[in-house]
Amino acid sequence: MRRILREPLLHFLLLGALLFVAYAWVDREGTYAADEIVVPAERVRGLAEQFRRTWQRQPTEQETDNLIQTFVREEVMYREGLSMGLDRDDPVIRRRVQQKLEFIGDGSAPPAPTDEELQAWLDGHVSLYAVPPRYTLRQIYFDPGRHDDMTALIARARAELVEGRAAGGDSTPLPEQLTDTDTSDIERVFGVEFARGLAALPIGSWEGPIPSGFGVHLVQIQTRGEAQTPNLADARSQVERDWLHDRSQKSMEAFYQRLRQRYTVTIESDAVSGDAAVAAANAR
Amino acid sequence: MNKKTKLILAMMCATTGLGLGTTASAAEPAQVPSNPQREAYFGQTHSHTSWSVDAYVIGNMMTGPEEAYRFSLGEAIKHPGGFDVKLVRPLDFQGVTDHSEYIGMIRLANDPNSPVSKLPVAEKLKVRSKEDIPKVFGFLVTSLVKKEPIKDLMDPKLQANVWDQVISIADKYYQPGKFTTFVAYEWTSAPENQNMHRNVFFRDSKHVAEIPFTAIDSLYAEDLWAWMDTQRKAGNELLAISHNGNLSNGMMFPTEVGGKGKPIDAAWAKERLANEPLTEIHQIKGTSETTPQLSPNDEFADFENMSFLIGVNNSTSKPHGSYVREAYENGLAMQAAKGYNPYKFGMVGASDSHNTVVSYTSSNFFGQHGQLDATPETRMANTVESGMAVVKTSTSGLAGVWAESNTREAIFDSMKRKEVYGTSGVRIKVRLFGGWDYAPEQMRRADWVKEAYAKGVPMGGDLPASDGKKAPTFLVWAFKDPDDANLDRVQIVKGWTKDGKLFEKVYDVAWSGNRQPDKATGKVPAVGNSVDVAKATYTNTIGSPELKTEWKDPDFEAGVHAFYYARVLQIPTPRWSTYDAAKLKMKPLADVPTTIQDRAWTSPIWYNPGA
Repeated sequence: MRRILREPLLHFLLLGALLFVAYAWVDREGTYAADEIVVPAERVRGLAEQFRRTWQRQPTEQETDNLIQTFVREEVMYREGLSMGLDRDDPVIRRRVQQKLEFIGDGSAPPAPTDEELQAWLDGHVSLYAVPPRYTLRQIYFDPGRHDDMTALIARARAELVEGRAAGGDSTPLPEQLTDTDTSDIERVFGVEFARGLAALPIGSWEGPIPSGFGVHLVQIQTRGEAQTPNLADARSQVERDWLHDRSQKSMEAFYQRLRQRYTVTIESDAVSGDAAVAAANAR
Repeated sequence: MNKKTKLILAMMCATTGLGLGTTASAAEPAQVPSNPQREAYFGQTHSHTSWSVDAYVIGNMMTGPEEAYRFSLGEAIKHPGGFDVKLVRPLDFQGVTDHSEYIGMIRLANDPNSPVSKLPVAEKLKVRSKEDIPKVFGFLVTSLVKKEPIKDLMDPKLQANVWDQVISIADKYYQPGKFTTFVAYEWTSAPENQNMHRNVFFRDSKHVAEIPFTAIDSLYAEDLWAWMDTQRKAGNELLAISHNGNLSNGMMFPTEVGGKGKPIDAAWAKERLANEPLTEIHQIKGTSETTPQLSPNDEFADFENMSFLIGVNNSTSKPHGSYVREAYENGLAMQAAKGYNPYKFGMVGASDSHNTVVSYTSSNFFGQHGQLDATPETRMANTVESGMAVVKTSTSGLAGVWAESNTREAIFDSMKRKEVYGTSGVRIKVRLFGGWDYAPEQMRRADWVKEAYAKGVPMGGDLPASDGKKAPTFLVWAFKDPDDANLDRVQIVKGWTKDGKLFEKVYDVAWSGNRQPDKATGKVPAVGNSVDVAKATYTNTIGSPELKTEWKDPDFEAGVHAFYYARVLQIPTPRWSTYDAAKLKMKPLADVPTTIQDRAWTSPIWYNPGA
């Protein structure tokens, strides 16, 4: 299906008319004779306005003249190029026109969502808004690069910790105590491997070795808040942002489908198994 | 997290910038945690979406700036090749930088303040209820199909509405303390295919240009700077980041003549410094630090280098005037001889991906140019597109910034003062300080960072005045990316100038294991290599998670201008092309190395004898 929609012939059919329209939009001067270039006062005003918006002041007479001459040059070259057919079958121009049309279609933003719509969206996308668990924990770090017998070292350290004595881990800038810290912040400092390793650990006891990108750790989880789904009040701004984003994507697709309905597509190629592809293309 | 625990965490972590308190929401800016000793935040300052016409043309047609931010926040997003991709960990900040040149688009908005709504046509375009949506579509479609232009929409006031959307999307995704967005765009000047591009960043979204200055307005950086001055005067604080000096054919860092053919002078240098505090040291189209040709004694100079002119096959870019290290050296020479240095800029790493999504690491690599390099097969086909050999393109770089908090103000200000660094995509943390009066064994103290700030300057700064009787001490600390490879070594790159001649030396200052530096050269032997090329794997059985040292310049001369920056190397890991070769069960391509040492580069600290 996508392949058919990317077929150049289809694009040509679809965009041929649009090219003309777009051209007429941006080029009212085009209504004059082919060998005559008239720069209407409104065009001059437009060029001057563009200048003012850029430089935050009106152009001088000299600058206005430069703007006009630049425009005339562009117009001459543009018309000559068009008359040679340089715009035709140019993928950049085709895509550019398509892109412009999509911006126009995209502009019809939907009205503000209701609470019911947002709640329905939240219910349907729970995982996007789930708040990961928060931990309070202690960790003792060991760098395998500094020891020959890690197993014995860790066994000794664990025994000391279980007896309530201080165990000498290796020096590190990593914090030994984390208090009510959310999983994403733990990942930020300790990496994803370590954060993953915490998920299944029991509360209260010294566990490990838990691997991280830095080495291994003995970990005592003191508290673990469970993962939670926020209510709409807490997540409202994010939910609304995502809902609007989803709507604008859907309205773009609807816009395309309305345009697409006006075309019958025929694919003259052996590259696709014709009937099914055409039927699909024309089904909408 | 309540205020007290945040404070405790901030204090605990203040020594090295490993803070954990980042949970405030946009609605409560007062709660954004702040660390006076600053945190390292990682972000992207250069990426394109379907809103850039070149990205759209190469097949990125579905995803815009919203998806770019969602990707950086950790969501799975569609690659132009049709598959989902996702980051291992979210980023901390981003400014999407679509090309500005064709941004004069038309928007049919519902915003009552928009000039659109004041036009007669607006009544037909407004959506007040769901029932209106098909009506508006109907109007548009009819107008299009009848070939009747909507004349009202030609009004120049309506141009640049895409710019308004750029701004509003940046605001929509900004969560102070958690994720910072910037209003930004790329000025895309490339006279005769020589890359002169700059990314322009605004400090806040309430003070931005009415419309962006584009390469259609002017191809000259001098005009961009003049426009930036105008903006600043109007209260819109902004800065520019140059990139791909390596592809500029010597135009990026000239020493004699500026872009408009006029000789470089003090005024030119001042303008450049005021507007361009940063450059990209690494991005997908190559590293701009130096080359083996320019730096024959630097055995790590041959890192992801590319030299071509964008759009020209079989082309090369002249090395002189194209690379950052030489520009720093030339800047010193200009300072010594003429009294001005236009090249006291800092470094970030960045992407330039045209896919909306960005691949930072070799192990999670998915191409950067739409359909051109979307699959292992296309990437490994040895194709050259517009002069660019696909297999030589690199991972996206990252910007590391040292900022008090994850907010626009704090991050922008760190960029402005150049307390930033670049990486080749990995999240290495690195600090660099320089000073005259650091106590011996300074770094053993728990509060060494506080002391380092109090008695010296961080990366991007100038050493304060001294009596010149002793050499400066540099404190350098590097901490690995927890989800990537261990560290091999930290180096200090020093450049200096004497009698108009340029000199440079790379010192190994901290390294893993018990390696002994060579007695004659001072160079530390290679760390080894744990990579299995056929399987594209490595192990962290070599290297170290953390490296730090206090280093005194053994060759210091009080009367000589100099700069110092740190370079941190990871142990060797498989290059992205080696991962692809393993996936395809083929031999790695001969044009590129099978393993690389990902790295970080800090902005320099400068020494001026006259200071």
